[in-house]
Amino acid sequence: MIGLIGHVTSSLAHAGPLVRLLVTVVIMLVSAMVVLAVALLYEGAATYAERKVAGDIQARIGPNRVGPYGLLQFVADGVKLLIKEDIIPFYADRWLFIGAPYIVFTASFAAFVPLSYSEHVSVADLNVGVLYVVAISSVVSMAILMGAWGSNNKWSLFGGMRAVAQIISYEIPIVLSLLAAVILPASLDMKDIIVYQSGGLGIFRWLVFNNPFTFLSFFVYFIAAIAEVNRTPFDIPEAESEIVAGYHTEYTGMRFAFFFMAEYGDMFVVSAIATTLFLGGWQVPIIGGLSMPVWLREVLEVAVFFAKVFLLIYVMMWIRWTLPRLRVDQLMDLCWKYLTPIAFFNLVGASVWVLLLHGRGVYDLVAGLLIH
Amino acid sequence: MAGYFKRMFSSIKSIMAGMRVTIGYGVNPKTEVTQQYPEVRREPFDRFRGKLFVDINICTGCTACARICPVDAIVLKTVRDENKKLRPVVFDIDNAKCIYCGLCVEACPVDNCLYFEKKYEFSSYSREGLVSHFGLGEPKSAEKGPEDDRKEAVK
Amino acid sequence: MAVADEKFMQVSMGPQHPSTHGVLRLLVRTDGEVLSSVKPYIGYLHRGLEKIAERVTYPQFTPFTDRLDYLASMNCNLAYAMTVERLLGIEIPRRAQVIRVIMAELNRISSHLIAFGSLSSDMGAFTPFLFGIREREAINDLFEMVCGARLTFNYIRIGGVSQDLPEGFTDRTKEFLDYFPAKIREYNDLLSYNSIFIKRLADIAVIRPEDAFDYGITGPNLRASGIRWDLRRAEPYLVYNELDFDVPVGRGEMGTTGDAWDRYMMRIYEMEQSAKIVGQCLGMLAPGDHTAKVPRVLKPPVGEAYVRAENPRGELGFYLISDGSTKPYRLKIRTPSFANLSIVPKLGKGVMIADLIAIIGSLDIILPEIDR
Repeated sequence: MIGLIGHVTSSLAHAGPLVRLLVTVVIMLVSAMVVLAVALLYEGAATYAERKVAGDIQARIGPNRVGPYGLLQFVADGVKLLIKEDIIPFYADRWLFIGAPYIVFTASFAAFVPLSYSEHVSVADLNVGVLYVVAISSVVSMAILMGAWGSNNKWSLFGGMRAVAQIISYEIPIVLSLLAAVILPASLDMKDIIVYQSGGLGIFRWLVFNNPFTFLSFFVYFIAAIAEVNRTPFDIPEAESEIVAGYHTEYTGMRFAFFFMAEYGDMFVVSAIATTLFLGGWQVPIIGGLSMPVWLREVLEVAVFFAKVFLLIYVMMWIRWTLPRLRVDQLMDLCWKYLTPIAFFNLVGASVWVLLLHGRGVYDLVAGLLIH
Repeated sequence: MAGYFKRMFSSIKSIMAGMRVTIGYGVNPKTEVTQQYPEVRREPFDRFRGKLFVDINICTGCTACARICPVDAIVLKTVRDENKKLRPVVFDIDNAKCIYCGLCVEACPVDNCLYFEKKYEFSSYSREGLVSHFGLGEPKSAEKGPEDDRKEAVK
Repeated sequence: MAVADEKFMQVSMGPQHPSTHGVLRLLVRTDGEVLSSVKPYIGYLHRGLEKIAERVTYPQFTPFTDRLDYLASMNCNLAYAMTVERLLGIEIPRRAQVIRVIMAELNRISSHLIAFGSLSSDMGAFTPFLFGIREREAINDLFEMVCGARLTFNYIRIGGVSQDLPEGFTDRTKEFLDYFPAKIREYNDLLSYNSIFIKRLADIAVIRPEDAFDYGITGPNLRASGIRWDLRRAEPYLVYNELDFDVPVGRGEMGTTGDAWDRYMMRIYEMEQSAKIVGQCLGMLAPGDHTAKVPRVLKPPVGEAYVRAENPRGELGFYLISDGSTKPYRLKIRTPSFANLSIVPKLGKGVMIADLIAIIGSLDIILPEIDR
């Protein structure tokens, strides 16, 4: 969409600089609105899906009262949260307490920006896209600590401390496994990375299939990402049965909803990153090679991208409703004794692979052998 | 080092076993066991202890039920009518106090006089609404006199 | 608080906490996540049941025993009925005895299902809890069929049981026993042998046999420490001496004998054994009276009686003194959960908050029984 600005401004070459600035600002605002609207809609759908998946797994039906199949449940939930009393504890640190939800929310949505939804649909084509997402999602940990400390509640404090320790530790395996994938396309730009994975029927040149190290990296990333977004089995910052509700114990109404939505936003972002870096992003499998009108291709690409993301989100939900939660020290064990060394091993392995085979993946090698 | 990998693989294996169970339920919509309450109403079993009901016309006013009740949920007042029979003028059962233990039903000497209905939906907006009144009221013809053998309410 | 305490944080866990299994208050002093001391405060659910017993007649007290351990009402009814029967010196017809055993064992299964489920939800896995509830509902259906209630049964009475078994009960119970073992296998796959669950419970809060004796621990918690003590075998009552069943004891399969995982697993094993007992008892049902001849007004001779029975949570004992009137002179109830809770301050030293939840969950305490 930022690309649009270039088009429009160049066609407005004869207009004055003020007009061009205005147009730029309007386009930016509109694209931000669009992303926000889509993201909110997705979040509603995701909360509904979470409850429905939980219902399926637990031999229940799940929400089915509001609207057909309970599809409008998230609207009802949203309205409920909006009209709930907004309580700020008397002893809370008001500024920290009020500020935290906004920062969490902003950081979570800012991560939507560099994602590449199809060949031409993206908000901003950042050349440091991957780095940007990793960086901005770390801001969440600061905001969580703000809210936890500001609540002036002991359970919140436990939650906040756990959250920071966890999120910062798990950044390391995340970044290391992302690096193992990124060294192949040698770019941090989401679009470049996806374009690199084209060919091979739109499946076999995915980075996850490129070599054994990226294959492992994908799983390491995915496990660490679940921890990054604080979901079971790594939901210790808000472990309901231990520390009541963790860092958002004292939050009510919309302020709570911001934390809640940020969690689902983060789920989307980490799944989108996994899709982009490992699962070929919006590369349409099998029929991608056929010639088709541009609009159809775009629609297919967006659909494929979202399908992959939602599949990963489904897996996260499936894991959540299956596994018990780890203890805080075991969580650190998993990070430092298992995920981080494996991620290092992958990074070294992938580098050697690139060095020796010049980035040719398993598919290319096999295909090359078959041709000869 | 071998133990390290062994632990890792056994963990993954055990987690997969659990995941297999849940996905079995997740993809099979026939496994649900819940009933959609307002539409589907469960038919209780014959012995279900629901709301207490008194067939007041065959009540002999013996107060056995009120005496056995461990929580004093039954308030029973009787007077002698013209045939010298006990007439239950007040027979109130406080469903909020009632613990549905069934002792009164067993104590009742008359068949099908005091029994549990299968009814389980009788919520109310007030405490008074939870009291069921079965009493026949004061007899109209009966004149009150000092000879009236009026039993005190069994508390 | 002394000055030395300033380096600890004092947290009041409960009485409104998601996993204290009722209104239990634990005053914990923590250094970060590690507890330095735990002190249980009880009495939030005190109803004065022992005093109530002095002003109601013997049969009238039976419904109050339902409210001792509401997850195992049948067993509480049974112990009370046996106490009064000993005072009165009545012999119970054989059919009534067999029915009593069936009810007690079915109730044991349903109680252990809740223990299993609530421990799993304490550990963060919510699905097994609902699976446990699902099987418990099947047992509740059986109970409703027999006595009309689903929680506070008041079925086992002085002299026998209140009503004979209804038609179709045997078939329905057999049906349940047929599919129940498969469900236990499912629980084991889902939770018992899950490595995260084992990691959370193995080697945690080990109760050594000598400690178990010192604190008067009974029931599955005692057997988990490796002591084969079960009143159904040690002092057989009803028809237990004719039945073929094992008394499982903790073997430290995943860690140390007497750890939290052993205590959890005892309940799974006992469910299997109880199902076996119910199956045998169904075959032993011969026509006969369901209750002995009991006078309408009970006036036990002057004297006293103490009877204990094996409840799902341990030994439940009723000590009854009769002064020859229709009402007990004094009733003392020895409840297993009270004794089991008493070891929490010892176990809770130096563990983490998450472990404290595991301790409470694995001891399977129930509050109305503690406060009575």
